[in-house]
Amino acid sequence: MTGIRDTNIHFHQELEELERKVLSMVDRAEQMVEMAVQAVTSDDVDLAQRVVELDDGIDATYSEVHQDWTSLMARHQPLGSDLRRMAVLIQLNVTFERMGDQCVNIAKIAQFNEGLPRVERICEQIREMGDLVRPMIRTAIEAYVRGDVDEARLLPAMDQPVDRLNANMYKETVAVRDNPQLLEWATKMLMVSRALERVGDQAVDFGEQTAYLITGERAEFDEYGMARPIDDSQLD
Amino acid sequence: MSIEAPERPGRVEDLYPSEQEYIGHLGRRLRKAAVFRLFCLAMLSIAVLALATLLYTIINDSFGLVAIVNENDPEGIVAGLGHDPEEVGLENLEYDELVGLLEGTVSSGVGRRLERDQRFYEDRLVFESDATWAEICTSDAPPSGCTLGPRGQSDILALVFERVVVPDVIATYELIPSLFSPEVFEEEVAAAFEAGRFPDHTPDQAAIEWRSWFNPTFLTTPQNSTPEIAGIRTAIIGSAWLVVITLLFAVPVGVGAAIYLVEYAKPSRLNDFIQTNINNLAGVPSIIYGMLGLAIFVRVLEPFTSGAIFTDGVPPSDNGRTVIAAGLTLGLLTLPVVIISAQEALKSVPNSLRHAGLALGATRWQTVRSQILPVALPGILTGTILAVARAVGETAPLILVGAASFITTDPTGPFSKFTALPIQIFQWTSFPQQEFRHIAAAASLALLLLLLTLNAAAVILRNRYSRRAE
Amino acid sequence: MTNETSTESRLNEMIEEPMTSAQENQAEPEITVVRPPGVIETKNMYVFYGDFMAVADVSLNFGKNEISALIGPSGCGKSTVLRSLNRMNDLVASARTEGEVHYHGENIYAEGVDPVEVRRTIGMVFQKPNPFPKSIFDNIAWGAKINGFRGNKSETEGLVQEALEGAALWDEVKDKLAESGYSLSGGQQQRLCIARAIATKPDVILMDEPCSALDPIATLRIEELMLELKENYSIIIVTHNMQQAARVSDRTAFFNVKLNDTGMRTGRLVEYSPTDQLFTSPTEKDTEDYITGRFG
Repeated sequence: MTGIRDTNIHFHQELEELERKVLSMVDRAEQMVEMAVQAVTSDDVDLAQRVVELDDGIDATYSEVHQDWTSLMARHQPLGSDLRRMAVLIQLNVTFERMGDQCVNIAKIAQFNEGLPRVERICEQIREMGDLVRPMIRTAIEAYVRGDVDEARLLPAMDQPVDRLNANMYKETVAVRDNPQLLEWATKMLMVSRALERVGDQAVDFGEQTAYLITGERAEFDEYGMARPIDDSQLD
Repeated sequence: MSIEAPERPGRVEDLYPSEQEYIGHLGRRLRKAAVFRLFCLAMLSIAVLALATLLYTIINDSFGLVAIVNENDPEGIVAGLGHDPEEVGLENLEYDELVGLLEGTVSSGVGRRLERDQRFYEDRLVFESDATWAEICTSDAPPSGCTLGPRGQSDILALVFERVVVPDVIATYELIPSLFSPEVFEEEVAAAFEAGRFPDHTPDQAAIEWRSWFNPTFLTTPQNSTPEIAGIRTAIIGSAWLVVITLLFAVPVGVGAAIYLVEYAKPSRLNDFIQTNINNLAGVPSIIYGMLGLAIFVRVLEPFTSGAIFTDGVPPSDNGRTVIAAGLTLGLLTLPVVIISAQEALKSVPNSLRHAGLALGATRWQTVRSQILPVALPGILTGTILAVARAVGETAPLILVGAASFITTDPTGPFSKFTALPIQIFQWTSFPQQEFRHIAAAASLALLLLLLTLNAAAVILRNRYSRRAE
Repeated sequence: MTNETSTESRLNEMIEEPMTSAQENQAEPEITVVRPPGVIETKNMYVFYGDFMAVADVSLNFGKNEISALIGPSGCGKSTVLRSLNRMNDLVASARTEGEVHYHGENIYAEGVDPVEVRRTIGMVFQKPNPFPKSIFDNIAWGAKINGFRGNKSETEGLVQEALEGAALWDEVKDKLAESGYSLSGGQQQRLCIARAIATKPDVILMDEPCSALDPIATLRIEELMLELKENYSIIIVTHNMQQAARVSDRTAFFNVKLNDTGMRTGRLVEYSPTDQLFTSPTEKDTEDYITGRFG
């Protein structure tokens, strides 16, 4: 077909703007993960405070995106891939806002744990989790921006080590139960681990949304990234 | 840097005039517009002037002063019969009295001739003897009086006027001069008498009275060779017969053809050909139709148009120059116009109605009959009335087909001889006498009124139905 | 550690395996009809106006008691297809239809089939409401009468009432049945036309952009009516309003204009899918481009 002309160009421009805003949230969230992990493993309360402040930005963008999304929906009644993109963006809006909240949880724990003794092993593991989660977020963003379903399908596999590290964290906590101060610290670090594990899951969810956007089929990834179509007939 | 006066300004907006220039332009444009408006108004005025002149001429000749000499004064006659002339006029006399007057005045030869043209009484003869009457009625060529009914009141009155009163208009005057300078007329009449122009009469016999040549009697009196008592009744009835026959022929044929052409015919070369021919026929001069009518209806179809094939014995008419031949000729004349206007009316019905009807599973005919025709009917009627109005005024084809210019008996059926209003006018204008000019004008007035009525009917119909359709 | 390695190697295997990709999903699927034959089925229908091929190779299967919508840009032939379904296209002198149109299994374009009969059972409602210049009552009674309805006065009144109720118009006009059809508003006139169509007891109703001449409220009422009528009739609607097609129809057919080598613009069927699928994830790129406003 010769010369595709976009007769809906104003809507598409607004849609791109909305998308930019949403992606800015996840960019910021990735930064916040790095900072929060650093803060909680190096006892840096100032850094922790910066994380909390960054989250205000995410929350503001969240409200804006919600409003813009509703307005766009009312005014343009999009269809087809535009409609799917809108469906995905409103989900991601929530997902990234939660990512930000998880980072805030980690930062708050850093503030709470100030002055407490640390177990280096645990800190290493937390740092490792951070180093695993951040590339996941990057991969998910790349997959979305490039529209690459195959790349999105890498995510569940990338999430597995994160889940294993999180599962392991309980053992590490139990190991220091004899020292009450360490125990307190370690219990809090358990929560950090959980928060990081959730961020990992949210990155996988980002990937699933991307796959829906491209393929038009709603599916959940299994552990190998294979799409398992969601069987609607089982619902209600 | 080249210094050059730019021929064209750089921006396209600069090609428009400046404010100053525009005002100048505007003034010129408005003046030109006013001139054109005035010009069109002038053209309209010329047209109105021409029409007004026409109307003026006709009306002017239809009314006026006359100097009239009666051989026998109507008042004297009435008094002679024992009535008071102040209260009773000739027109109030009884039929028998009028016949008695005739008996006493006309010669027996004239009386017998009159009776043979049309009897005076159903049950008895006035001039003829019974034996002679029986004899002539059973001969090979019986006169019309044998078969026609007795004369009517207005007929006898006309005869009395013609034969007993014998009015003689010796001078006439037109309406406008009559209104504004009647004394000039009196002087002229007196001068004419002195000059010896009227050797048979004396000045005191001449009465100067107001006469409207166009009056009710004029409309109900039959044709007469004496212009003072001639009327247009035969002509009006003849024209009426023609209108009826024209309608009966042109409407079914024309509307039917139009329905076929609009609703059923598929576009093809043949149909285009037919359509072109119909359009052209509408503009063919009426005299050609007259020739056609003469050749076909009068000559070839003589057995039909004279009524011979419908009667065993004597045909109603001895040749084909009858009302029906003329009616069919006029029917052919109006046919193309009726077809075209019916087509226009049908085409103006929106196609959405046809689609709606057909989509319900109706046949074409059901749709046309119930939905299209009712909507198109006002237009068809209007077009038909206008076409007929045109036919009423046609003279040339009627002359060819044989409208009698002198006929005193009303047509009794489609196979009668006849005359028509335009023929009558045509004939009267060819006589030199002053009086004929006046009655020709009066007859023209009658024709104009008839046309006006027909056109008004068309307009009213159109307005009423177009309001209803909204 | 070994777990991770094996997972990684498995991961690598996965990446090498061919997976269903985006491209495959959008490959050329055949429009195979796996549904049972519906109430109207077109088989390789072509419509010509003289030498001009207006619509090419349309095979559609319209389901019973469903609303099917035909959408597409102007000139794509959707109205032509609709009018072919009840042989209203025959009214155009140069129109010629090839292929078959099956109504309950019988080809309505076969020799000897009278279009008059076809149109009784396949009714039509037009873009601009076109009631007859008669009373409301006669508008509906006439269609019955010409099709041979034998009822007496009260039976006819019953039929008229039933039709008007079916068109959701009865309450508004029951006291003024003798008034002219033109005295109604645009939306009411269109509902009158629908009543008129259903009075002849069709089982299919074709609607050619029935709401395009109406205001939004009247439009919504007609759409509501369509959803009610679906229970008893099969409805096929042409609309240029995508949102309307999305609101009311069960299946939607998208037509597009294709230029062939000689420069003739012929309409073709691009996709015929369940409505929610067509408007969220259409199978054809042409459809996707059209519904997102990207078309050349």
